[in-house]
Amino acid sequence: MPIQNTSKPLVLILEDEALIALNLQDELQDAGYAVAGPFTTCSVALEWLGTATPSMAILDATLNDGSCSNVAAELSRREVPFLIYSGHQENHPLLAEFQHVTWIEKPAPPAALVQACEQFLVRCS
Amino acid sequence: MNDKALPTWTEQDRLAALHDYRIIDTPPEPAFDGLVALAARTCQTPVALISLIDERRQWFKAEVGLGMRETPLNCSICLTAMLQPGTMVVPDLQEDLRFAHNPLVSGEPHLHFYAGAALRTPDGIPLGALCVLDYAPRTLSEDQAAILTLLAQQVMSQLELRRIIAERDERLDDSRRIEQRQTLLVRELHHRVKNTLATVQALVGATGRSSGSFDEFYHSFSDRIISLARTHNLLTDDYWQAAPLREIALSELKPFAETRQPRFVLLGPPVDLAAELAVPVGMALHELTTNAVRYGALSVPEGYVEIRWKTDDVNGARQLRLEWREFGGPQVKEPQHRGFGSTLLQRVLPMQCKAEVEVQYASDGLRFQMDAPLIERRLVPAY
Repeated sequence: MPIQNTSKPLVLILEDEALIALNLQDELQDAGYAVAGPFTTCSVALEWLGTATPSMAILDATLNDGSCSNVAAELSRREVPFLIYSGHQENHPLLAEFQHVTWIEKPAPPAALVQACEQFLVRCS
Repeated sequence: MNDKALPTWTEQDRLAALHDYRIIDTPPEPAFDGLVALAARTCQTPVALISLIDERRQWFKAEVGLGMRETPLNCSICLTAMLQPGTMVVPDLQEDLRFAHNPLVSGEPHLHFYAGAALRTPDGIPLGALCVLDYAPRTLSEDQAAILTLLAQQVMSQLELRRIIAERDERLDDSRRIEQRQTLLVRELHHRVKNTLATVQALVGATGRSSGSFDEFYHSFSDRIISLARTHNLLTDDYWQAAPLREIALSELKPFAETRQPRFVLLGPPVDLAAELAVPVGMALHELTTNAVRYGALSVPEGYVEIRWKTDDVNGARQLRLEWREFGGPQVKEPQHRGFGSTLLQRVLPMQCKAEVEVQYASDGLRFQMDAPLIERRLVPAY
């Protein structure tokens, strides 16, 4: 993983579609964020979370190794804000599991995701 | 025993017909209990049975007075009765050579009297008999015998009804399953379409970042979409599960397929790529082809491309090696600007396909090699 610049807010990306993930990474980096990942499986993301805590996270709902709920639970526990960026409609079982979660349905303009991250920053400060 | 005309069914047919009713070993049901009670009452006998002749036993769907649910076949009198055309009446079993040695006759409970009406399917296949038994020799009146026959018909009506209900329930279950599968497919389709649109959106971003002019953007982008669509076509042929690697490569190199001089060679065994692998590999081959047409071996008439692949077993998992080599093109220089093509080969393939990728800008021609695990799982079964 690239070494992160600590002065920038760090966004964890969990997304198994590489093109989507890399584009998201580019957009966030252009907007002044540092990126952890992109991780393509929950297990790799959890492993990374064992060593560090991001400022916020963008999670795909379903990864190759299953639902992102483990990662979401770990983030919730640490009070790290996150949003779900998914091709699933907003009636996914995850929503029942995590109330108050921000759900952005794919595809969304990159600006919408960057804006959501900005709102997380405002909420944190 | 049955010295009449040979039956039109075999014992195998008979057992199949019996098992079709799915009645054997089911718990007692009031409709059948009522019919044996009625038979016993009408014939004034202490015992009445609905006996069904299974492969190695007779099993009683309903009984009064005997206190058994089944007996071995050597105890069965109904086995004989069901093969008789009408109602079989045996006034004294102990006087009848066919039954004198039956354990229920020679021993406890010393049965003497038997009358049984065959239970036959609408096709005439016998399944067993409705019978009445007594511990003393006797006979049936004409009315009693007629009612016994009518009651046997009622037993068959109940069996038929039971079967029709079971079949209807099965069909309902089937249609419920189909409905569930449909819902699943629609949800999956929604997810895939949204993901595809998000991929296209990412392609817009990535192509935009690496294009110098709108014209360049427009052409590169629409070529990439067309390539993506071709891979989707191949996948659609197989329920969106897998596509043959050879076809994916051919679809990219099609414009060079009918030249007089061969411009490409495809060397490798038949390999199907799962959708997760087919899409990125298709995109990679598209970028390699585009690059070769612009700067590489396909930019000059004498150049050609060799694509080789093979599969190996690595620790029990199948691994794909795919190689692309260009020959006879202009001298190759390491590019100064890394475009979308190199992002795709060097970042997307490792991330999406867990591939190890090597790109060599060898002076005599570009070389690309990827090693990736083959994905074997299918979500939707093959035809």
